Amino acid sequence: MASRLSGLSTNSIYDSGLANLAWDDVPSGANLLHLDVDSIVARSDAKALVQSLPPQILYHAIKLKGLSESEELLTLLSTNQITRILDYDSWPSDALSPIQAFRWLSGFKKLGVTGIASRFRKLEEEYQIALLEKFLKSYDLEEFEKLGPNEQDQLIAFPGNELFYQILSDEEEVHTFIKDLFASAISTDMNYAVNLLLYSTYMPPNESEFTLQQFRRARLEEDGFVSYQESLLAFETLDIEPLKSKWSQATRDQSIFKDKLMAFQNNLESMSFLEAVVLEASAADLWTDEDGLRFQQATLYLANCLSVACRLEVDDIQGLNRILEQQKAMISLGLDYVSTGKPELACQVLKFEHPKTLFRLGLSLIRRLQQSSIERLSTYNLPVEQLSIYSKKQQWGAAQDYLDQKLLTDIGLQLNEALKGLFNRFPMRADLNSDDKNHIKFKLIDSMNAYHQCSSDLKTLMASELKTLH
Amino acid sequence: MNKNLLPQALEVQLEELLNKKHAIFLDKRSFTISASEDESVVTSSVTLRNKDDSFHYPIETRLSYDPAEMTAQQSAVFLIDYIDLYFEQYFEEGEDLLLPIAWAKHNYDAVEFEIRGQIRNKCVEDMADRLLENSTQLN
Repeated sequence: MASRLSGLSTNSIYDSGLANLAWDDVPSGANLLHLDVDSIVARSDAKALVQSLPPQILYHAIKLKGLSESEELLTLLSTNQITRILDYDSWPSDALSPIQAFRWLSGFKKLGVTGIASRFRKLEEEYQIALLEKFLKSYDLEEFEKLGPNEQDQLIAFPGNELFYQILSDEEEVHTFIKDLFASAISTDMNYAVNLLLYSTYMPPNESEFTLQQFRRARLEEDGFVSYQESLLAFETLDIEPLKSKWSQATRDQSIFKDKLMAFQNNLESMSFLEAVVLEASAADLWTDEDGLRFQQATLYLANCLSVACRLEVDDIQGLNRILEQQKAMISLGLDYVSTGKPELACQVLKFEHPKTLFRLGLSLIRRLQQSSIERLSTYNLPVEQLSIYSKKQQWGAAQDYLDQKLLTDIGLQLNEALKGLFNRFPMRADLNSDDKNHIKFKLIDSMNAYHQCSSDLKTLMASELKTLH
Repeated sequence: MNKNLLPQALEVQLEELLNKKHAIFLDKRSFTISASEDESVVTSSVTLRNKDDSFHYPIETRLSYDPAEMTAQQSAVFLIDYIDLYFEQYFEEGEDLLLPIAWAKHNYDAVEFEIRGQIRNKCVEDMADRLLENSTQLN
């Protein structure tokens, strides 16, 4: 669950950098890989195909399509894929939510009476017990007979009436799932059903969940959900020049693109440099589906890592979508810079450089702009030392708060907003062409053109807003 | 009746937090907050509106609080916290998640309270009112 408003600070809101500026939000799922679920499940090799796909991509596909619409696909998942999906979706605020897990596992009813139990027992023991332990109490015959009639009515008997269980919850979903699970377990393997009940009842409370939490963390790290400190490394600058000189010496064959440069330039008006490169390279068969999938996986891994820095929950798909959009802009900027705007070279760069390198390159260019803006502001005797410190320490929330608190009155709303865009965790440029100067919208810096526009806007704004300060 | 239950500084701070937290969705709209108390019933409202009030969406909540558990001010902030969560969902679901127009019971964090909300075009409503008023005067 999200933090309460009254427990937040301006600093913490600014720090995530995803929703604190007004920009045209990306449509839901726009940056996620779209699987054609219906045609996949209709194939004769559907099971093998599904089980070869990365769990997170399957998770997004199911979330976008809706769980109830994806039961067919659910039944084809491997145990490892189910475990990973439960890792993503059933841990709000890092605590296990059995009800959310039950919603996923209920889908196995589609496999028949034995379906739920046969898939449930393949989960790690810790998952099985942690999901049930809060809800079960067992009774033997002697204990049962000591109860009053009303209490006895609440119990459910195992076959033979020697063992009974009570479901400790008012939630109908919990009752339905547990009853279905035990009915299914009893019909497949009585020993398993008895053991599941007794272990779930007598295990020390929370022990399984605690162990599971450690397993889950390790699994999430494999997907890029690293520790907070580690996630900040993705925002570190890198040395621009070696990368630039490495690619400036690359030989390139211009013959494929030379007739299409005009079309490429036209595309740049409606899409980012990265998108235009991929579009042209795909049309020229220089960018295959495998390249696309590899790139998608690498960007998803990077987005997972960045989402930790933004303190996003693992199941926040729209938040992830926004991160993918923002990181795409920085990758695009880095790509445009290193390839000097040449699509054929950009295509080679995309194949050989990790998206994280290009993302950091884009950010490194922005750091130059931040630094030059700070230097320019200091010539007007504005107190910008602290802004420089926050920027070096990547404390973007504090930097933006500082602009609001210490500089807004001197520099005016427009320049202040433009600087807040620049000093955002995901830097953006203010759109100064809007009629309403009190509601400034922001745009992505996804090409060198946008970068130069941002730089020139800032210079113009400083010259006009700060002239009285000299 | 205590009309201004929250200190103005706190009200401004919460409004600012709301406006910053949801900035990406606001589209020239902004939040305003008010809270009042009347005989152990606390009412908190958060209104999302644009400048000319052609979009005016007040969410009203009221809670009969137990002084042994919460102060009036805590109750008001609790309700505002909930309204913020509502708006979070509202925006995430493309502004399709609407509330009942009449008071309806709701539960959050094991506390029961009532809530209602209705999107209005106050700009047009006011124009209609003025029109009616003028026609009545003419008659």
